[in-house]
Amino acid sequence: MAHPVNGLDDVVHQRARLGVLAVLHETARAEFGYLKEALELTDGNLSRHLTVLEDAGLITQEKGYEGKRPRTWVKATKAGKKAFEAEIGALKALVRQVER
Amino acid sequence: MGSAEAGGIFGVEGPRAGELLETLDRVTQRTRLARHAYWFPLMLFGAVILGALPFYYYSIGNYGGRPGPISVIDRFGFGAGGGNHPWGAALYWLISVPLAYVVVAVFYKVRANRTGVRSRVWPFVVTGLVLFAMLLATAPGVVILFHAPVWLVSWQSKLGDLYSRGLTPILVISIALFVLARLERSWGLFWISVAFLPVALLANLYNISNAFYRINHWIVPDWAANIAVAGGFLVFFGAVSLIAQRAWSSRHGASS
Repeated sequence: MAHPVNGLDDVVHQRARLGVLAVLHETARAEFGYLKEALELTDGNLSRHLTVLEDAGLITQEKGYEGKRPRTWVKATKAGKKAFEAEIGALKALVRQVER
Repeated sequence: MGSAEAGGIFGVEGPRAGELLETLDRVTQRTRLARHAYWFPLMLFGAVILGALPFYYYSIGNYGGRPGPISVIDRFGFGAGGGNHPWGAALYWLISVPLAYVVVAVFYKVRANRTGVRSRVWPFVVTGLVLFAMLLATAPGVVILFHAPVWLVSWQSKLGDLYSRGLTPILVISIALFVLARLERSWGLFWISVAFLPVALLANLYNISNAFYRINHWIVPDWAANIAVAGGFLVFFGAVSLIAQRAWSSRHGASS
C-alpha cells in the first residue's frame, strides 16, 4: 500500500500555493490584494506562487483596471480545484496514518 | 528572509499536516464569511413584498375587493386576488421582481470589487427570473388572452387556493433562495429558506389574519397580514444576517 506522502503533489503542496487554492476553492474569483492579505504574503512572493500555479494550469489570472487602479482577479481552473481536493485528501490520509 | 517572506500565515518552520489542514480550514472559513452577502437579497425581497401592500388593500377575504380581472393588464395578475387594484398588483410584481434580481446582481458585483472576493450569483438571478417567467406564462388570464390550450392550465385546478390571493410571486422568491443558499454555501441562509417556504405557502393558502384574530384582531389588519408576515420575515432575517456579518467583519477587520 502506497504511503500517503506519495499522494502529495509538489506543485500544489507548497504551503502558500495551497493557501491560494484554498481561497479559490471557496470563491468564484479572488483579487490579488485579498489573497495577499488573507495569506499574509508580500507582492513578490504571491506573484511567484501565482506564476507557478498558472504555468501548471491550475489557475488563470485576469488583469484589468478599476478606474485607474490595476486589479488582478485570480480564478482556479477545474484542474486546480481537482488538484486541491486531491491534495487535501492526501493530507488527511497522512494525518490518519500518523495518528495510528 | 523574514517570516512573512518565507510562508506567510503558515509560518517559517513548516507546520505538520494536521496544523496545515487547520490553517487551510481557517483560510477557507474566512473567505466564505467575507463572501457572504445574502443579507441584501433577503432585505430587498422583503421590501419588495411589503411594497405590494397598497395594492392588496381589502383583498384578503375579499372584503370589498373586486372579483376577477377586468382589463388586459388584470389578466397578467398572478391569481384571482389583487384587492381593489388587481391591475396595479400585477404591474407591481411584473416590474419589481425582475428589477430586484437585477439589483441583486449589481450589488454582488460592486461588493466583489470592494472586498476582493466574488460569489457566483448569476445562477440565483437566472433561476429567479426563469421561475417568475414560468409563473407569468401560466397565469390564468395570460393563457386565456393568448388562446392557449386548456390543458396548459388544467393543473392549476388541482392546486386549490394557491392562486386565489395573487401572491404566488412570494413562492417564486422563496424557491430561488435555496439556490442562493447553495451558491453562498451558507447553512444560515439554507435554514432561513427552509423556514420561509412554509411562510410563503401560508401566505398563498391561508388568511393569516385568522390566526391573529384569536390573539388580538387589531394588531394586523386583515388585508395586510399575509404580505406583512412574509415581507417582515425576510426583512427581519436580512437584518439579523447583516448584524452578524458586521460583527464578524469588525472582529476580523474585513469589509462587509
